[in-house]
Formats: sequence, structure tokens, C-alpha cells
Amino acid sequence: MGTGQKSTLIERLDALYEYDREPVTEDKLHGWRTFIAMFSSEHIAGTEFVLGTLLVLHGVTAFDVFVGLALGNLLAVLSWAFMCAPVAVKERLTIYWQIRKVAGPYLTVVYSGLFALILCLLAGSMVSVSTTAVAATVGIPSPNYTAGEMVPSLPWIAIAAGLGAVIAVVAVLGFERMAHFAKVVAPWMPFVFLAGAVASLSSLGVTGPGNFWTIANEKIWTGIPKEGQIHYGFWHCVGLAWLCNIAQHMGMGDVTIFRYARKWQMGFCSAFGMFLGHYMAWICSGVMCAAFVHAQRAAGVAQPNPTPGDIAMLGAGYAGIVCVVLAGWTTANPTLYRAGLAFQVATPNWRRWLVTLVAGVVMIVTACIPAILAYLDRIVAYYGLFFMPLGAFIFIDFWLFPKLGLMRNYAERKRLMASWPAAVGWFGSFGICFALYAKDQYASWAWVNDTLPSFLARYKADLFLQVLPAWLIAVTLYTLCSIIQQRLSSVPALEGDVA
Amino acid sequence: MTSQTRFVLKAISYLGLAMSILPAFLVFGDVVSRGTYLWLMILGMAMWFGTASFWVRRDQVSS
Repeated sequence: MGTGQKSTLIERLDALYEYDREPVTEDKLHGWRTFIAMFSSEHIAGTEFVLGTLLVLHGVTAFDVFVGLALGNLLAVLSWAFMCAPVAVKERLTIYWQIRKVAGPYLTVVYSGLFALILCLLAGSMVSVSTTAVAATVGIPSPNYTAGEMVPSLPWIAIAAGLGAVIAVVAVLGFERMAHFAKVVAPWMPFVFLAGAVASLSSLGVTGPGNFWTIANEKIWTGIPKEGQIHYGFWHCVGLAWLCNIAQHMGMGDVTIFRYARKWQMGFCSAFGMFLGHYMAWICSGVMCAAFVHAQRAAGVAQPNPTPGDIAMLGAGYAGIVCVVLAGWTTANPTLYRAGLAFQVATPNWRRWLVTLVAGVVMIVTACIPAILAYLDRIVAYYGLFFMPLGAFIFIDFWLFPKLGLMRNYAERKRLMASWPAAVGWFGSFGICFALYAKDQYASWAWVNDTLPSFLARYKADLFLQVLPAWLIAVTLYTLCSIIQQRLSSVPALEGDVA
Repeated sequence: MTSQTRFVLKAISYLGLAMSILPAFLVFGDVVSRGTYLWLMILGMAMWFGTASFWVRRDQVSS
């Protein structure tokens, strides 16, 4: 790539965010209600039907779910309140500009491109969820991945393509109207989740609060994984709840939102999203999943396939089907819009509508891969681990660097195209954490055990429990490399650069 | 939209939300049949969507 092309790419990237270069002004700040509404609507998505179901299939216990998810969601809320929001209200800049300051424009382009890909994948999973609902209504079976069905039927693909096409076109033409519609849908959805679960309880034998806990352990969260599934426990629940939005809180993605907050304490508004969407909705979808499996087994089905559409139909009828379709749709739409925006940085000469449509095609393709929904929890975990480090650098740059006498925003001040400490910290932390996980999970990575000291070879890493090690490795590598970089730099720090 | 219209629309919306949850407890308590519960859920949905879009405000914070 030539220098001219490089500068075009960076100019284009900057142009996308040209209105976000300046900190948000006082007159544009918002209060508690805005953030409560925003978090409540954003974190109740179609994928909640999948993640609650996956916990049941992975054999967690009722204690794991009720206490583990509570702890994980609490940690997520604290991460938003004490890590993300304080930086956001002090800097009042988007994540894009903050990453650019500490990591340089090249790494920001890499971050944006990869972030676009994962957003397409997540949008695809939401289309997939909506498709299961429409397919259930018209009697088309959804693919049963655990039974070995790797590709959906043609009619199912046609429904997914139709839904995906509508979502892509709306993302291009009418995002604002769709955003308003999502706001209308949001208050209704938690009621449908709760109603579906309450109405399903009697089919499992629950007669009142007295026997709920017993039935919950015997028939819903039994502690026994479904055949072919890994066994999850308490810490998996904690890790999943904490990790699934780590790119937004510890990864600082939501500084873009909280830069509009009057006070950092508004970070606690995230509790509404977490405890409605990732606690109540996951528990409710777990109950509906168990009721569906119970009903299918009673009907003689050997391998029940609890798709979001099927469990919602059983729990709340056609209202449940509408809920699944809308939950998938309203979340897939802004996700696709953001993916298009991020993709645009890698395609400088393309128009935004074309980029968004290309992102839509990627979304539709991923929606037709059943493995995406089957491994959604793992995908979410990888997503968190991979994108979190750059946000961790913003946090460390903001709080720790002045105390260490290091220059803040070094890449920006020295006009570096890429910060090598950020590259080492980012790829190093993910590489180390992935290798520690893969050595015991994939045969092709088993050789790693032979090269490690015995204490590390004995360490059995789990993807969901890598949050803290990944964060610590990332910030340690970044800080040490920054010390080396800044101490070796022949250019003295400018007045006022430190602190 | 007058404040009275807005009040009526809001009242129907909230009634729709109530209709989207209370029948679940009624079917759990064996007070109504499952068929009735499913119809009431549809009714609640129609009440909410038929009215809420007129008074729920558009987003103000852009991300």
C-alpha cells in the first residue's frame, strides 16, 4: 500500500468521525432517564433467548444461574460505573478518538475493520434468532446443530435472506425511524420474557414458591449438560455475564455513550440493562427452554431442538413469536449500521449505502450458519477478550501513566502512525490467553504444553475465566513497553505532557 | 396531540403492558385457560403497539 493510499485511508477514517473530534459540550449532556432507557432497550435482544437456553444445555445448577449471573452482572455494572463512565465524563470523546490518541491511526483502522466483522457476525446471529421464529410459525424446522445439521434447509435460508435483506435496507434507508421503533418495543419485551417463563412453570410441575427451587434444580438447571455440551458451573455464569459486554465496559466502547452523561455515577444505569436483559431474560429463557425440552421428550422426541422461536411459541404464543422477531430485528439493525460504519474505514472509496449492503450480505451468510447460534457464548467470549485490551490501555493511560511520570496520549503527541506498545499489549494478551486456552482444547495446540513451565502446563484455562488475566497481561505489557518506548525516546516530553 | 389524548394513549399503553404479564400469573394459578392466556397476550401486544408509538419519544443521544 502506498503512502498516498495510507493517508487517504486515515483521512477517510477521520472524516467519518469529523463531528466527534471535540468534547461534548455542557448543553448537550443528558440525565438519568436517558441512560436508563438506553440500557434497558439495548440489552434485551433476541440473543437473550439463545444465551439463557445455552446455560440450561451446558448443565448449570439453579444456584449457578441465580447467584453466578447476579455476581457477573454486578461486576459488569461496577465496571461500567467505575472504569468506563469516569473516563467518559472527563474526556467526553468517542472510543474512536481515544483509541487513536493512545494507539495511533493504523491500529485504529485494524480495530475498526475487525470490529465490523464481529458486528456482522453478531447481527447475523440476531437474524438467525428472528428466522427461527418465522420458521416455527410457518412449520419449517430450524437446523438442529447438535444433531449434526450443519446447513439449514433452502426454505429456512430463504426466510433468513428475506429478513436480512429487510434489515439491511432499513439500515441504509431509515435508521432513525427504526431506532424509534426499537425504543417502543423495548418496554414490552421484558414482560413477554417474564410472562412466557411464568406460564411455563406449571408444565414443569411448579405449583408455587414452595417447590420452585426443587423443580428448578431437578428439571430446569439440573447440573447435567446435554450430550455433547461442555459442563458449565458457577464461574462460567459469572464469567459469561461479566464478559459478554466487556468490550463496552472494561473495553471502554461505551465512553461514546457516557460522554453525554452529566455525572460518572450514571454508569450505574447499566444495571437496568444487565438485570433486565442478562439476568431476568436469561433466567426466563432458561425456564422456557426446559419447558420445551420437557414437552418434546414427553411427546417422544429423542433430541429436542430448543430454538428461540419454538420456546417463545410455547411460552407466549404468537406474542412470543413477535417478541423474538422484533428482539432480533431491533438489535440487528443498529448493529449492522455500526458494522457498515466501521467497514467503511477499510473501503475508503465506497459509498456508505454500498458498504452497509455488503455488511448485510455478510450478516445473511452468518445467519445461515447454525454453528453461530450453537457457539454464541464462545463467540461472545472471544469478542470480549479480543477487543477489550485497547480499552484497557485508555484506562491505564488516563489513570496510571501520570502517576508513573509517563506521557499521556503518546501516539498522538508524537504523531505516531501506530503505537508498538499498544500492538504488543493487544495481540500479546490475546495470543497468550488464547494459547493457554487452546493447549487443552485443540489437539493442534497440545504442543504448547511441552514448551511451558510445569505450573503453566497444569493450568487449565477456561475462556470465560480469562477476563482478569487478559486485562492484567494487556496493561502490564502495554505499560512496560510504554516505559521502554518513552525512556528510549530521544525527544524530551513537552511541558504539560505529563499528567 | 393534546394532553388529554396523550393521557388516554398512555393509559391504554400501560394497560397493554399489564395485559402482557398478568394473564401469565392467572394461567399459572389455573384461573384462566392456556388458550385465554395466549389471546390476552395478543390483546396486550396490540394495545401497547397501537398506542405507544404515538407518545414514546425519539432517541436524543446519538452514538
